[in-house]
Amino acid sequence: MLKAENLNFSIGEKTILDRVSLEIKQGEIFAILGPNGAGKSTLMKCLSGYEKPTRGNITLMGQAFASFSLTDLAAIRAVLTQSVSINFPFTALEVAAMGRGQFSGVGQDMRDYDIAREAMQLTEVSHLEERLISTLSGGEQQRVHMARILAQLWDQTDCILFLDEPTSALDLKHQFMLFDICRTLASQKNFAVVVILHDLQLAKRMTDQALLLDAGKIFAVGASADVINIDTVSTLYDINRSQVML
Amino acid sequence: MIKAVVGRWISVPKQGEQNNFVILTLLSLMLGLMVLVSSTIGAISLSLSDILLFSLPEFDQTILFSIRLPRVLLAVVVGAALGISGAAMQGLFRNPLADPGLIGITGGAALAVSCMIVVIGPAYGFLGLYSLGIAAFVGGTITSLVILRMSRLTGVFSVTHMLLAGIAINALTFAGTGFLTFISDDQQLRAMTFWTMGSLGGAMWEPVLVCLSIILPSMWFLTKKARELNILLLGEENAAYIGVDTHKLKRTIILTSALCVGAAVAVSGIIGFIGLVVPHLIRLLFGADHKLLIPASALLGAALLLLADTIARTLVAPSELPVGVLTSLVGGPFFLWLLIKQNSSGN
Repeated sequence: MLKAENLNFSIGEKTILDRVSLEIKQGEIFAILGPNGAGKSTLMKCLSGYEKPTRGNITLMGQAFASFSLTDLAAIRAVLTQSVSINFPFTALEVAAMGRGQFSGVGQDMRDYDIAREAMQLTEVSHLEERLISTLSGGEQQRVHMARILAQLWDQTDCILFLDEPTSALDLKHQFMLFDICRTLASQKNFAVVVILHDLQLAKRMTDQALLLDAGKIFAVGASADVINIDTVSTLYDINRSQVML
Repeated sequence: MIKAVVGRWISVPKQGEQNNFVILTLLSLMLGLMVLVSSTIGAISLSLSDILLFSLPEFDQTILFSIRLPRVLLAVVVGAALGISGAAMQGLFRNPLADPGLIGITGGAALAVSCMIVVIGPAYGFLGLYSLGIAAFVGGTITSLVILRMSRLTGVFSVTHMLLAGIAINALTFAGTGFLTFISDDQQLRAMTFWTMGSLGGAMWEPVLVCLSIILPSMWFLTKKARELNILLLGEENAAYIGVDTHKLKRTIILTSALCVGAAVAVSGIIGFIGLVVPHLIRLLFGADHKLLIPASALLGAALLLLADTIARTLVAPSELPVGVLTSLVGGPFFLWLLIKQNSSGN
């Protein structure tokens, strides 16, 4: 579904991504792992079409990124960024409904709110819909934004979901909830899910494929269960083998 | 306690189009009523029933149509322009405290007018009141174009660069205006000071119509973009993911607000606080949705400036206070109170 060949991304002299190639297939959950500053978020920005790679090609459904308009892209891929700060008094429901932004044009279609409500039910934030987003806890906000992302691709199939550290503020129960949702989308709606994670245990258990990134280069790539092991982890993160917990 | 009250206010409108309609209708009615009442108040008071029945004596009719009504309507359109531009700028900066004054548009307009008064002095008398207007408009537009250009120096539009450019331009225009003040003679100084304080005196039908012809399309256009403006508040990156062309949207907001500010500054000088507080107040009362925020800010801005101007021209009649002084005097403390209240409700 999404294919990248020899991606390079540099800002000035500094190379952030160096010859990264990967393929993400429909129906699979693809993890991007690596130490801080390895280029995970940059890779995700390139893959989701926000940043243009300095060199290399990305094709989405066999077509170059440039051939998609912003609205076309919005209908087939959604992105959950690490943090979103909103300085204005929007309710959780209004924020979730923003994900429907471009689909109904100018009017605020009631259907958008219905979809947003259903999405909020999935991420278990329905009881917060009237609360102002700024009064919610970090994990609750993260779940509201997750609902916004889900609302964006509601009723669509064959889409691609990008999640940048989606579990960073979630408690254990909601981490499982999140991956339940991802798994359901992958198996029933043929979604591809690309997720940046720091919890290697979670990645090993919940994802199908994993790409380990080290200073912008691919360190290892393959089935999560194989790639995430004591050897790779201890070398990649530069820690003792005894410190690795998987 | 306060939190509960504020929370209830904010949750009132929810998402209903109908609710928006009711709120806007109520605000319009309030504004209409204020226009009627303030038309009767002045150095010579007119009878409200006579106005409504079209049975004014000829002398009073002249007062109403050549003096009172242009003045009242000018306050309305200027207030609306300030309200709209404030709301749009705050959306653009994703910061409820942003203001056209902040990014130097007002400063640019003021500098252009000062130049007009001091450097091209003779032309002032020749072109009359309109020279000031054209100068402010050109100054405001040039400044916003310069800021637009500078904020894209690195190739990508950056709000930080834009803010910094705004601060620098504000300092420059302030220095420029200060220098011009220094070299001006007594008469020029008087004209400049009066203009900078903001006043709606000398209102005629032309400025009202010119202002209106700019504000109505701007308001319509921004309201049409309301949804995208809402989404922009998630940040540029997230807005782009949802399919909003952020660069285009930002250009649109800047140019529309520059137009509104230019129009307002041109005919009335610098009138503070309306653009800053009105959208804030609307958000506090009815929520942050731009679909309501833009037109409601226009209506409330109009109402507030009309109220301030009516007080300004009657308080020390037959003389009058500059309305800018009055709005700042009332608006400053009010804004502080708002901030403190918001803080206590946030905790």
